[in-house]
Amino acid sequence: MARFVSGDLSDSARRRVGRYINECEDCHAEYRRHQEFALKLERNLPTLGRPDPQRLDQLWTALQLDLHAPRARTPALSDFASQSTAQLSYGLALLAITIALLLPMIIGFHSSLLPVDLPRLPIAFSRVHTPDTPLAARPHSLATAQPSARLRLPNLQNTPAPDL
Amino acid sequence: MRECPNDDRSGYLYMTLSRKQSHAEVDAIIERALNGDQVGYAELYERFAASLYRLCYSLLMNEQDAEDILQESFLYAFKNLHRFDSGKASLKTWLYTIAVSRCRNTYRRKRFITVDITQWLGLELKAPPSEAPEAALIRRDANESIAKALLDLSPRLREAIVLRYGQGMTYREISDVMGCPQKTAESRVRLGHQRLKQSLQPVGLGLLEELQNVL
Repeated sequence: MARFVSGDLSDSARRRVGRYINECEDCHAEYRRHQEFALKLERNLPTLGRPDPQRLDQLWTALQLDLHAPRARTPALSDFASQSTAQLSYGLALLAITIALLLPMIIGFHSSLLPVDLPRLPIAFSRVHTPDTPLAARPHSLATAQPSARLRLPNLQNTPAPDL
Repeated sequence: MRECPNDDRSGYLYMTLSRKQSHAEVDAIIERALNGDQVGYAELYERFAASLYRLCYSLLMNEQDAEDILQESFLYAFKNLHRFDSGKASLKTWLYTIAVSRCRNTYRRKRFITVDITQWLGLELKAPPSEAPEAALIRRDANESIAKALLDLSPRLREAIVLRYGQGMTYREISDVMGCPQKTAESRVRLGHQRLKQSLQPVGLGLLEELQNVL
């Protein structure tokens, strides 16, 4: 019925449905109701949200600005490829020379950061609290750790939990 | 014996003919625009802006959103005009597809469509300047009833009804715009039609009849 009212049927189907509707009282009444309501919608829906012509002109002006605004785009791979290879190789050579010059200085700088000798034993062993070791004599830091400090192995049965 | 309903096909044929003529004109304007004629873009905007705005407004019931989507849709369409294939669909269908897709994004973003309270109070509804006060009043009431009934529909049914009755599109065009089979478009229009009829029956239908008598 909906397709018949809106004219979306083929000619042959339209004739067939039209003949049927003509002969059926209820179908004809339904067709009339359907058609009337469809006509009302067709007349009234287009009036919903009619735009203000001035507002549309303003939107057109804004749209033109957007269309002509230069786009901020991220560089594509092709942009790099289009650069001359000579420029690229000069850049790489300059980078390699800079690294070669800076590398010994960096290595030397790191080695000068450690002025004290490292203890031979791990720090955790030398910091274990035992009843025989006075608290004042216990090493607390790397700077105070003595490489020659004598290691006392803890008595595991009578020793309280290590104070780490 | 009654007369066979809708036997006269001349109106339908004329409509089809005028559509084809309109498509040819639009294709010529697109060609000019693609060749760098700025007036071509202006002509395309002038030709479709009002109907596209009505479509967006009818789907969203919000002026600001409708304006935003109108602008976004044209911006996208003009920047991608070279991609448009007139052999697949008309420019109108293509523009509507872009706009409906953006309207759907807005539904998702907002979840619940809100209506400006001033519009419900009738402060923003515009009537043509020449319209008589009585007709304007009835039109406002009728528009409010239709807007409320449309909002009660699901987004898909609303799209189908607005494209069919608000924009006068064929089912094939509706299926293209909505991205669904033609049968689905037909059933959505049918279902939307029934729901609208039910919801407008108590008050709205009388208003619509009254409006037709006044105009």
